Amino acid sequence: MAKMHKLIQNEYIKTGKKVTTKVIFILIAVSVLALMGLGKFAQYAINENIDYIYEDTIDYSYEINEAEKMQYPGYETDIERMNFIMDNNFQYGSWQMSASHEIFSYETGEHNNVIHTFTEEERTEFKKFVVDNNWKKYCEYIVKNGKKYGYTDAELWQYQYRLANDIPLPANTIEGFTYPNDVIDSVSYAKMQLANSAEMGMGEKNNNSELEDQIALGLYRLENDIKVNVADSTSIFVDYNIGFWNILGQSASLITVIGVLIIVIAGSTISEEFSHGTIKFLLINPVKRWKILVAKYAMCVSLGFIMIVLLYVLSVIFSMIFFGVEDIGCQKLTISNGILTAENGFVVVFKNYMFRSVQVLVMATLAFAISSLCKNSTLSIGVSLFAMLSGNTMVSILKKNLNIDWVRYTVFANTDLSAVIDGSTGFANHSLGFAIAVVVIHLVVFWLIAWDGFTKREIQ
Amino acid sequence: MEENIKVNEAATKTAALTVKNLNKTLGKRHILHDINFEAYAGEVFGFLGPNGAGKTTTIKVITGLLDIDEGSIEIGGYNLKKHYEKALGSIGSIVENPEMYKHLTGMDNLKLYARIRGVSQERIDEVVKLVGLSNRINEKTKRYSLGMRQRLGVAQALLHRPQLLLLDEPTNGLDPAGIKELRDILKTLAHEENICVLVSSHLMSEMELMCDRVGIINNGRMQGVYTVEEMIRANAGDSSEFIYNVDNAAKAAELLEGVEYTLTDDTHFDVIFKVENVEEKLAELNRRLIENGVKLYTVSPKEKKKLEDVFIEITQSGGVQIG
Repeated sequence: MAKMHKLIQNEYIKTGKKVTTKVIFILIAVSVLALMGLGKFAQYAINENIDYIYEDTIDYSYEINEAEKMQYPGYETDIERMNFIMDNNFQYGSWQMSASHEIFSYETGEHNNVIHTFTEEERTEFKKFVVDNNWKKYCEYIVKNGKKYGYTDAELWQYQYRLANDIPLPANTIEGFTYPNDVIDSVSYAKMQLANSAEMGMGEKNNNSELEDQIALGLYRLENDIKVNVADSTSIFVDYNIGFWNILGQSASLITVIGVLIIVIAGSTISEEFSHGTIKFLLINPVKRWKILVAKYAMCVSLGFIMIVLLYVLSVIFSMIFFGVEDIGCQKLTISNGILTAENGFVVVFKNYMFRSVQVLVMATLAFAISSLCKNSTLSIGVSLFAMLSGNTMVSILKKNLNIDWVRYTVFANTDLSAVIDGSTGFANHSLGFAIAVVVIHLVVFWLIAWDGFTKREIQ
Repeated sequence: MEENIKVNEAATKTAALTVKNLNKTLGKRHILHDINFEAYAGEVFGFLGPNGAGKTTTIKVITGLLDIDEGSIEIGGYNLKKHYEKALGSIGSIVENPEMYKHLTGMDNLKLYARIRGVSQERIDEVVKLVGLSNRINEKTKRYSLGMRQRLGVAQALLHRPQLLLLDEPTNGLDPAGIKELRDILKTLAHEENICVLVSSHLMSEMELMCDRVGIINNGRMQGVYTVEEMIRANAGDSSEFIYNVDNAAKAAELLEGVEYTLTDDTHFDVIFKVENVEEKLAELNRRLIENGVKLYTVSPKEKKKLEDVFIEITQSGGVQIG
């Protein structure tokens, strides 16, 4: 074993002192920086945009002109509403804006197809809340009279809740998309869905329990004032509020970059010894050949792992620099059948890294095997890169478009273990055990190929 | 008599390398046919043959780069197949060209070796000095000349004080001074440190100066193992040739009854004695010439054949066919 450790050390020196390897490490750092920069830019751009669109005074003059020209039924109400909004300088996405729609809906108040004609008194009272920006009075009014206007219990919940917990209605779009309004929205939406399915009598049990879980999770967050749930922050391109966890979660996608780099290393470590003639220099060591092969493989895998850890550490550091440290204590909250689990966000992201690295491991092993068998870097790197970058797409085309089920036995359908756990691979009854078995079998086959290529071939 | 001497020699020496009935086929070509030889500790063994004779293949089998198809190899008492790592551990070798990792320095390259074989830094420095690379050892080897790489190769082979040193064409790329240096190093190693040095070459003149014994291989067959003296004698057979310089060769020829001779010109003739007691016969012939009034100016032995000629004769008898 002592010798094995020294063999691996040798492999590290040979690979580490190459210019290519140094460039690779720089590339990783650069790609992290690029992602962070992009995230920061997106955050900036979104905020700028929102400011641009929503801070300016709303100008309906064109619409009012059109309405006057066309004189469609109820156009007077529309004009009245638009003037009302303009006169009071309501912002886009504010509760006043939606309330204005409520007040000036086509001659009458209309909700859920329940037509209620506002009396002039009612309308005046209603307007007063809105103009005074008195959300409480508005909520109380809706809670009191909502039934009459066609509000369901589920819809009324959020007004009751806001009143009870003193949570104002959103004053603009950004507020609407951020905590706590986003959580209230999601709970409210789930409650409505649940009510609907109960009403229609076609609620599926599974679906209902998911909705109940969603409600329970939302209420838990509201009660405990948990602003960020790492589980929601997976993408940087959906949320209006790009933060630390969005960007750190997104950094896992850079594992593909590491995949490319480690394939280059694994695909050339054996074949380069042959093309440079150093294989003789290596094999006259008093060490059995399989040990040299194991050392090389160990180097590739551990180097890949080191790169992933480096990527993770750099991503954490740069995320903190670019997006601040307020959110770092956040957890991933998930709920299933009423049982809530909380996981540390950093652990969650690292787990995601590990899940994604399965594919890298498989493809690097493939490159290693081809390199050992054919002694050709270009071939092994080319084939493995192609497999890594297009394998998943091909499998999903074959499955989703052509409905060929046996592709589930290919490695590409099984490397995304997180998708397997979520059950989102598109294959029925796709268990984690099955996926792991397929991956392991492929690894073993690749290994046997590498073994055979390296230990049996003669050095001519 | 000679047989006895050989046996005694063998008995006092320990075999560092024993190759028995080695056969090797690569693809469809049967490259080595029943190769048998022993090389002893304390000698420089020359492995001689024309290009394509199987020298490198034999060395590759001994160093484990090629598998043994048939036969056995023992290195320092360890069977190569059964005790692969121990057997290889006592070998130091250069196979074909010394290919190094070009992006590493000479020192880094040596350290790759030293690490696996447990060699100290002092020993590395010592060997680097021995091969005369101290000044350039921290340069990347891509800047080395062929001669420098050859030196580094020798250093690498010597690092762990091997019992058997296998050098495949080690003088390739060395300048004459370098060749002499290497020759001295190898001789010292063999004769003073009791290492078995096996050197392959197709340069016969090299072998003659460097080796104690020479094994000749041609077309994958061992033609024989000889000491350098033996080879020359063996080729000349039992006969000895002498050049006579006299005043009248024709007159002298009449007196040469029972002796094989060739007239070369008026004053010279060659004489060949095929039997033993050459000195006695010479004396007898000289006396006869003088008694019969022939003026005998000089009698000189004809110049000995060089190993080179012997080698060509030996290998050509088997035919030189590369392929």
